[in-house]
Amino acid sequence: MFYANLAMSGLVQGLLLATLALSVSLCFSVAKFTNAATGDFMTVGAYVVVAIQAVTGGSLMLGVLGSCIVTALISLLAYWLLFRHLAHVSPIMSLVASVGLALFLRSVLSLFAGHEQYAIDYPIARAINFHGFLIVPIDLWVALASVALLALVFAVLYLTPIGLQVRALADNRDLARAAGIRSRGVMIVLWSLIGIVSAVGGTIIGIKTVVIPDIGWNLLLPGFAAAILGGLGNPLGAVIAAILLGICQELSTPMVGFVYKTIFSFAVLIAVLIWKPEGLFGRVEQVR
Amino acid sequence: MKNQGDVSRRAVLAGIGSTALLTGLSGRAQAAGNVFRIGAPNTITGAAGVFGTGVQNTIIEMAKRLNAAGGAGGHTFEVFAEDTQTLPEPALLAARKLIEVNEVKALLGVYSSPEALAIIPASNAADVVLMHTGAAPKLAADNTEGLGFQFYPSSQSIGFVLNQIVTKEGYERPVTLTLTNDASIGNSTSFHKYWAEQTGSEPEDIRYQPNQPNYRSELQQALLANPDVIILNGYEPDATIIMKQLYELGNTARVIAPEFAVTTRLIEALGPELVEDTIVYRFVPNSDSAAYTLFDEVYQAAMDAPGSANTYAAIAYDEMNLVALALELDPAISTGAELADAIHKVCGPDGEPCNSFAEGKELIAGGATVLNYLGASGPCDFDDQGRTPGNFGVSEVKSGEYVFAYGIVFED
Repeated sequence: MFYANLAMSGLVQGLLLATLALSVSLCFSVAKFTNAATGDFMTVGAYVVVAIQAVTGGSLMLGVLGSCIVTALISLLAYWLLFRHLAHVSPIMSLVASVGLALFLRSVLSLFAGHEQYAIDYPIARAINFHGFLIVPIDLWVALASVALLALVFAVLYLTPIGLQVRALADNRDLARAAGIRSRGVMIVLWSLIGIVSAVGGTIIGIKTVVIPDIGWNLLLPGFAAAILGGLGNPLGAVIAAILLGICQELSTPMVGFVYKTIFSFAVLIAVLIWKPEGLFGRVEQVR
Repeated sequence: MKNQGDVSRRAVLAGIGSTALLTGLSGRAQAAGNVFRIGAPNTITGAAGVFGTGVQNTIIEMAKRLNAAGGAGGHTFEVFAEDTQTLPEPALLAARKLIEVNEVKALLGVYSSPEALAIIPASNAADVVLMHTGAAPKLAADNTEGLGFQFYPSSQSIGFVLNQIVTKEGYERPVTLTLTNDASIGNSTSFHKYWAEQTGSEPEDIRYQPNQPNYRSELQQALLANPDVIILNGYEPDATIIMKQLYELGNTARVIAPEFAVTTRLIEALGPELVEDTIVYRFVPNSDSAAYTLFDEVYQAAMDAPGSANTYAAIAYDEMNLVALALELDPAISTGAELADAIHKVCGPDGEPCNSFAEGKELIAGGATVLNYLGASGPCDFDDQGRTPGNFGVSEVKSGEYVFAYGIVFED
């Protein structure tokens, strides 16, 4: 039961990273750069929930909906004002610009909200005990929200005409354009999705932790690791990799201790990439 | 109840503005006499961001007031402010810039052990006085040039206090949850030493990393030891997550934590039920003293809030007074070593007592060569390693409020 509880802890850890990894992977799949502002989009999402809860008297549902709208708008604005202009130059330029955007978003949040911590209001409850196996109610909700979010993203990608266009652009940009697919419309859908995923991810992380300007940034590296492990540009791979990394990390604690568990997960990442450079679910041509 | 260091954005902006203003005024003052340059690398942002603005604004306000009163020993003060982000690397970069570019002679208001440990080799090498509130044992060992002044009680005394609390409350199975930084590890190690000497047993110590979204595995390990009390050595952000997750995992053991971890903001975030009966210990300033009344007035002017909102600002107030008194005692001071020597002369227990710079100035004018500055934060009696004793207050959280229970005085 001890290891089952550790695995449960790892699953929760993985789900927290999964939304971030999904957002990173979505961006890379079509826009072809690693968005370092992903964590800060999530931070914005968490702050919007806090603000809406303060105004509405604590409605989490309204907070999440409002956060999805605001964060999607900010994500679209980032594309329109910044990344759109860098689409035809080296992806490194977009990466550097995203680092600048991350710093800008954090500074704006710090200026207006300060550095003190805020909390997302939700009913805190004791774990349900099944013969020693503990299930914390909020973790169930986190899992449900993550699954619902993944279902939404994959429904858009695989069940809608615009999703088909997104995948076509991700697969072969030139061929997609030759087939008449207009990248601007696809990009609007993509950046909206990135905003929504970030908003929900920020809410989940805000619920599990505290809302401070650095929460998203602090998780960016593990999120990147999961996206890379899953095969950059493969959203489903990113989610599975995040969960695997989370479970590996927590199950390693009896051997390596709690201080070095993060290092262990990065060691797993390195080992897998040596064995399979394209990531667990990546395709060889994606890393050429 | 107002939280320690609960500051508004307006206060932060006012602080930034006043820094620039003071620098400008000092520029003109520089032409008229000697300028003593002070560095203020403080925690404006980061984990201890709630305290830093109050500390920095107090230093700036004190410099203004001292300059307006004619300076100290013919010197006027110029303050150069920086943000350390409550992180060691930015703190060191800020300190290097202050030392090498601004040529400051003293660094005031340095907050945490990791920051002070990062800075102290550089300040030692540059012959610059370092005044800080770190508690890590290594800070005393690294104070090789005698330029360091540690205003917060050491880890040794915090371990003593923790052992006193656990013993007094009658607990038998303590477990420590320790953030992996020098001060927290020092506090837990010191407690383990006192506990082992007393009982012959070694409690479980679970160490955790900062900035983790999930501490369930760590807490599961802690609860396996079936503790009747959990000693949490960390800071507000991680303490908030841990207190919440401890409750969720069904913990019934009592928690002991410092006041900078279990803050009023933590209580507000989690609600009274989750924090009920938590034991909170804190460094107690000398709030009945004349110096504290004067500090309170300075803090009101600097932050538009009562002095009780920020113990670390009371310490910064004392730091400025000590530097000013040292310069008044020996206007010819030109090195950090001379400044440190003079500071020891104005705050030793054997000198003539004084509660403020103005009182000390009068005594020096009257021929006094050794003073005993009695500060707002405490007695300010430093030993050879730059450490000062401190008193602690122990409170319990009842219905979301701190209720004072008893005091503890450190005895080595």
